[in-house]
Amino acid sequence: MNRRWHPSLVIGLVGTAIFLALALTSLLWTPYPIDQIDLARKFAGPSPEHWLGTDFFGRDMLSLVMAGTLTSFVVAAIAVAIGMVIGVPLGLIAAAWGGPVEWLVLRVNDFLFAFPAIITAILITALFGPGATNAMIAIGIFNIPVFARVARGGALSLKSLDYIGAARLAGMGNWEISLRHLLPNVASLLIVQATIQLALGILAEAGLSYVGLGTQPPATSLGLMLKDAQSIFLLHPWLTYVPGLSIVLIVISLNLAGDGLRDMLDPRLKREGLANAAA
Amino acid sequence: MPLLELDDLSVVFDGPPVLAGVSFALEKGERFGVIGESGSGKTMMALAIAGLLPEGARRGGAIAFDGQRLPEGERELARLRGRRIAMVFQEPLTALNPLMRVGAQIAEAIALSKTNASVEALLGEVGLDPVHARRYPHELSGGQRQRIMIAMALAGEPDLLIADEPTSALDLITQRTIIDLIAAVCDRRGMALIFVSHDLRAVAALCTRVLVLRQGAVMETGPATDVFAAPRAEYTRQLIAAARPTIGAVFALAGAPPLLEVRNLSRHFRQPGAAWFAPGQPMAAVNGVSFSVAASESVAIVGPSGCGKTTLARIIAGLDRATGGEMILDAGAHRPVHPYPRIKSGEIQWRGSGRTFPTGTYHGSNLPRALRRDISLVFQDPYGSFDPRLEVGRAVGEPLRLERGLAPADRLRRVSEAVQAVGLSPTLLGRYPHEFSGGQRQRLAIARALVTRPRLVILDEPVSALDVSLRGDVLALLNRLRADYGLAYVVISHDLDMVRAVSDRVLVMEKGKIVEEGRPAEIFAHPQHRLTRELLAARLPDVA
Repeated sequence: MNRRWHPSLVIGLVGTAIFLALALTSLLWTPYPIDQIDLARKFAGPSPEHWLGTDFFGRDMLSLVMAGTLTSFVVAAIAVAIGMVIGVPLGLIAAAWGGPVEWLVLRVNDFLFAFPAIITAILITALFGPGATNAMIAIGIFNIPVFARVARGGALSLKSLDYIGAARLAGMGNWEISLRHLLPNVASLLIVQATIQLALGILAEAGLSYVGLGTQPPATSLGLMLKDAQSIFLLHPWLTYVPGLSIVLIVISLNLAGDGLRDMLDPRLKREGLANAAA
Repeated sequence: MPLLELDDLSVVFDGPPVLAGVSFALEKGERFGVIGESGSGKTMMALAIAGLLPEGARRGGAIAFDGQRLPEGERELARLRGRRIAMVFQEPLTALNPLMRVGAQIAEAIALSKTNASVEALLGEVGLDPVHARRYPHELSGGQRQRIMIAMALAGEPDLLIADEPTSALDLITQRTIIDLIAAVCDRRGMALIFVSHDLRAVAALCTRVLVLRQGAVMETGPATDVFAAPRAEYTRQLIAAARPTIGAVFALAGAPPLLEVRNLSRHFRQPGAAWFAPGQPMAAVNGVSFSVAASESVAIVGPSGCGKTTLARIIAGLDRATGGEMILDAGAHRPVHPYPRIKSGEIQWRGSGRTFPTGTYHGSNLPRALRRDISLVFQDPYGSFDPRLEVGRAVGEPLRLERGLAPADRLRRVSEAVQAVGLSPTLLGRYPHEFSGGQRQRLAIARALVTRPRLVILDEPVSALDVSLRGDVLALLNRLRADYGLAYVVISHDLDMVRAVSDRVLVMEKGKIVEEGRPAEIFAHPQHRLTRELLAARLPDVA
């Protein structure tokens, strides 16, 4: 089967890969240490020494963007992991058992959906104080019902198929059927949803940091950079453009990658559909 | 001048053409049949004539309608489709708008084609009462929906009706009435017909000229009587042989012990009522059914769609639970017998003394785990019954988990035995389901049913999803396996000819009840119940 690479998938993956590479590089090396304050150099525009200029503390913007991208990716990725690890089993349990179990899972879902990430974050911050970890947890909790719904929806449409009946006849219980037959077949749906939630997570992290509930200095994130630059936006708009555009580009890349993945993994949009039409 | 002329028509997607070099001419009022199995390109041909080819398809050759080339522009094509060419599709449920009353949909077709037909007249012409105009598609049966589709097709008073497998989603009795309806409508209106089907007998009943397609190429074309009486192409001969009903050997099973006893079994489904305090009348899918199956006996359950036969099969197999009655597996308790009795000269030889079978009373899904290996089910659809992400070897071996403590080597041996028994090579076991054809998949499904060495195999429409040319092979395989392994079958079907080929005893079912029972020969010769007579009358005449 020749799976064609969708153009939007290529663009999305390349964009994501560039930002991810920048972020990972910051672990080992940044042009300047991000906590090096040098007030003599503050508000320098782009130059050969500082490609993206410096901020109001004289910190190198490129180094900040690299480190900030890493924070954003880590927070969003861990939030997606939290959502998947808890949400997917919940969704599969709901689909496989049905009845009162399903009712309970759906009501828990509705309850979680009723709290936007920002409210959860405020709650957690009020209890434990602000920080990147708490942002992860807040966004992760927001992700749980999303993954539970996708897993349940996908599993429900599979459940009526004959091979699930055959597995039941082979004496498999709900657990085994979920792990062996349902999970592998909803995996493609979950991967697509994960890319979309990753993009949303980066936006949510930026939002939380912007209102001061996320990453705290001296660490940095794209949202925190925006917040710092906002008060001097009229004087030095460049300082907001850099993190703002980075967020936009990352989110667009991830969304393109997600769309492309869905088109590639969805059999209805592929050549198989044509083969069936020709039958 | 012919009404429709195809000259060297071809349809190409990326890769090899799905249709190549098709030429024929159709006169006004002529009924033309296109015969082909899945993948033959017959649907693409129908779509090409109607100008409805899917995106990405390229058409070659020329199509002329009434002396004019088929227009290129969508507007002109749409006008042609509304007034001169009409189409009826296979699945009327997806072809109708579920949110519109069917009368409104017919009225829309009339308005678009700007004729002065009336909804009542059209409904009358297709044999429906005018009250049906106020119904929604889901409130109608499959046959009624197909009548609505035909009424919509007639709204534009077309010169040509293209019917693409219009009856293959319907049961036998309904199929016959729709075929008779199409014939009557064509005669009355002098309308030309292109009837696309895999069913030779349906084509033979309707058409005067036929074209046989295989993998996009024309095998043979000519007057229907000539083609069916003296087919020139080898492929046509195979199709005709496959369409001819075979009569299976009936085993004389004197003294075979009863294997399964079904006692007064019922399955009621709750139906939504008007309100929570006024619950609906429960619907009985299976209503007080009793019968028994002897060891190595093949019992067929026949009935129209919706008669409860599939529900019954699922309950016996242990997938669903009965709401009343019970089943007893192996009532002749604790007999030491060998798992594989041999049938020789009509007598069962119980060889040696193998394991002792437990006996059990159950109601469906509470079938004890120890007994599950004794009953297996072959599903109707060979495409849906395998997990697309599991190698077939593992799928076929899945039921072996019912046998505790089986060493991996034994497991492998059992799987390859089962696969060899259905005539496939064990070297194929590492492949994935999509690499197999429909017929091979159905063989694999049978292998999966055999792998636990069951005594009772339930076959739910085992060949209805297969191409005609494969059906004979699978039926012969089923008969051979029964002879080799002394299996008992419960065959669920709506197809009397298939039933005659594989069963010793026939139960006719209607609305959840068994209305007639007997040997196939008796039932065919002297049907007693009204439904049995209808089923027999609905059979289309044999070809040639």
